[in-house]
Amino acid sequence: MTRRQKKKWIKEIARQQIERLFELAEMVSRTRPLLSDRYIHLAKRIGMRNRVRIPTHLKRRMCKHCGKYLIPGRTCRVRLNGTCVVVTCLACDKQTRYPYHRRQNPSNDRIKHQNRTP
Amino acid sequence: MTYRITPGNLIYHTLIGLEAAVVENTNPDMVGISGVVVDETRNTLVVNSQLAHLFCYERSSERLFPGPGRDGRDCGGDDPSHSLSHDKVIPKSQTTFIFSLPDGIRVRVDGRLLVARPEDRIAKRHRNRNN
Repeated sequence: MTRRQKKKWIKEIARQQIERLFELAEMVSRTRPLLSDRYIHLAKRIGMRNRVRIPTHLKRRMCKHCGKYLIPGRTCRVRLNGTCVVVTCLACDKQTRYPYHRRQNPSNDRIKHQNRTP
Repeated sequence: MTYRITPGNLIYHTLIGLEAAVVENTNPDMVGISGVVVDETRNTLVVNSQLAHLFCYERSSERLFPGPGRDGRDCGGDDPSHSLSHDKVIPKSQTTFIFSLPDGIRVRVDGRLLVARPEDRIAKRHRNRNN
């Protein structure tokens, strides 16, 4: 195996592990919630160590602040306020915002912004 | 979503959720312990003999992820057998394990190959594998 191929293989394994760990976290979330937090933590560490991104849909299931596994309705509150999805972690009470209204024409916006600040 | 644990990549993969049995250990009392791997540290595996029904492989591999984990919830419940008292901490280095993979294959692994933090184990090199 060439070096590049090997690296690819490692990343593939890491990606699989992350998905697997999130799935396991889901399975134990009801009976052993602390254990699912532990799995999330491991997934995060594997992602960091091997430089693999955690897919967005999985990333949104962990608290950015305390690392808790988030289950809408059970461990987090999800609300819309017109501009953002606001996710409140019920363990640490902190909020994470995911904006969903993109600006109509971002290039226009940038020009305006440049004009304003000379 | 496809993840595949094969005898070839087992020692690099997540061990959590697999069934494991201790076949050899320097401590004779530990031989024969079996159950599902619940947690992993650098030097130990935590095996729980009561939680097997929580990790149902067949259904889990079919499930698409972002959907709600219905089957996970079904087999949950407030069963007192989930207490921590069934967790057994087993040192990796002095042990030989047999893991059974989701597709039924059994793999015998020398625990010394597993000594590393779970996130470091992927990149670790091995001269001779003992699968």
